[in-house]
Amino acid sequence: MAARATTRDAVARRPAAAAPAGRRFSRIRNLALLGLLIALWWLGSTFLLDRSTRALLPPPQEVATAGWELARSGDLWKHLRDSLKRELVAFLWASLAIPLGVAMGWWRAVEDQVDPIVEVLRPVPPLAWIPLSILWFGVGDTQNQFIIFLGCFFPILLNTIAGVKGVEPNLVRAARCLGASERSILWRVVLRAALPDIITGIRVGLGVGWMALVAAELVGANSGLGFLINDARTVLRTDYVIVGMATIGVVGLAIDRAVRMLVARLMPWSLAAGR
Amino acid sequence: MSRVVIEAVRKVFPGHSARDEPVVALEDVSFRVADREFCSILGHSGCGKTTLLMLLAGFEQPTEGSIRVNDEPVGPPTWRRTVVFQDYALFPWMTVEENVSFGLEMKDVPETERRGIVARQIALVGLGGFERRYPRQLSGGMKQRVSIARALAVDPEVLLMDEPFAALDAQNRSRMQEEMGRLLAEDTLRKTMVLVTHSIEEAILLSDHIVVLTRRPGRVKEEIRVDLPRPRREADPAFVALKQRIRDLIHDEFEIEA
Repeated sequence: MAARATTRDAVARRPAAAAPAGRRFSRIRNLALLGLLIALWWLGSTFLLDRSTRALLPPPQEVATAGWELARSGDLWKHLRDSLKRELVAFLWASLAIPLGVAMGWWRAVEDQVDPIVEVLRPVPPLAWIPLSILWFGVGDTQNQFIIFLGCFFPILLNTIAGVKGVEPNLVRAARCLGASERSILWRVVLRAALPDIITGIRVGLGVGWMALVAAELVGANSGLGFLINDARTVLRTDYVIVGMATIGVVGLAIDRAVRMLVARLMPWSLAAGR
Repeated sequence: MSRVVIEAVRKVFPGHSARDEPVVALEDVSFRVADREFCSILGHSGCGKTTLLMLLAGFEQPTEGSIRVNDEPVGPPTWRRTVVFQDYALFPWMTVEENVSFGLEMKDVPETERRGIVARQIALVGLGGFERRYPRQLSGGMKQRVSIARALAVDPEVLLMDEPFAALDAQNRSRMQEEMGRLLAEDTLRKTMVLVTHSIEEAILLSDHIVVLTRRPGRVKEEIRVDLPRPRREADPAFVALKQRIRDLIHDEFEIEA
């Protein structure tokens, strides 16, 4: 679904992209609301709040200063690095969902066996695993990675299954009557045809994983962006909390953009990438 | 020697649920396609002609009766009986070249030889210069050319075509039919071919032998030999007369139905 929406966006925005000057202007125009909201934040924080409540919502320039402090001291980078490392390790484990999903989508017997387990586990939110996982793994990387893994795994699995089941039957038939073996069909046809859905699963999975990561770090870590904002809360450094939240948002966006750029490289045949 | 022998074939599809009536798609269908003959299966939509093609390819098995190609019963799908599909079925992640090359790779044809065959087939269907394009960058007519080149590249014993020109616009369709007719006029390129179509003109334009099927369940209504000289012209009085004859045959079917 997400991939399809992107394609439509690209088509819809084409007239604007035709003229570079118009495009730059429309980019700025698109940021107008964001600018307005920041201005309102500044106004509210400076003129509506008194000295004591201002500590709960410091004005934007103070948050920026706090961000600069955290960046210069290296604290921000350390937390960011720890969080990203956890996300990456967990994602690598979660990518086991791709072969499993292909097997489930292709062989009925595998799906019949695995599906009941998946159906029971899937509705349990990753956050519900936090208490048990702290008991199992203690506080630290392994526990965090386990929670992210859970957030990542199911979107990738479900999208892969859907992708494999949705492969155009005539593509498989065409491959068969060109002499392809079962292995070639899986590797060279089914996996490729399902790739757009698998990528969608990866994008959703990384997003859910990133959210789960922050939650896991709030309660079960001594580092990371989730730890940073919770730690700042205990000493009422709301400016640090907001910096941490903004970093989480920006990095989450950057991860998604990076995946999309990678996709454009890896799938030159896709409609979204070709324009 | 007869390449394809279809004998008393019956095909029944079970209903989707137990309460549905089973559907009889084909009933007592028998005919032969000679070596290097172009045979068209002509009929209304839903008369089971595509089912017949799927049986020939080996995607489905007949409920009763037998289909033999070169004196061997038809088994699972193979490049020996390859199919050109109405919706082209090109691999969107492969370029034109890679699509045409796919079957050759599956056949383990050595790379140097493969390149030669691919280049020759692409040239034959008039797509030189488009080797590196992806299918989505091609028009419908060009996609079907790629699909035909891909099928011919594996050098099948029987080429099966499922309404290959039906999805094209009128102009492209008549051009492709014309080119196909020209290809068939060259004796060296002749193969045993089975075409499924609902277009009377297309069948006359291309075939040596037309099998007219009845409405569901599909039975052989009549077999017609076409001996008009090639390349054929639609304005030819003999062409027009034959067209009228087949139209009457098919029209009969409507009367029965109504």
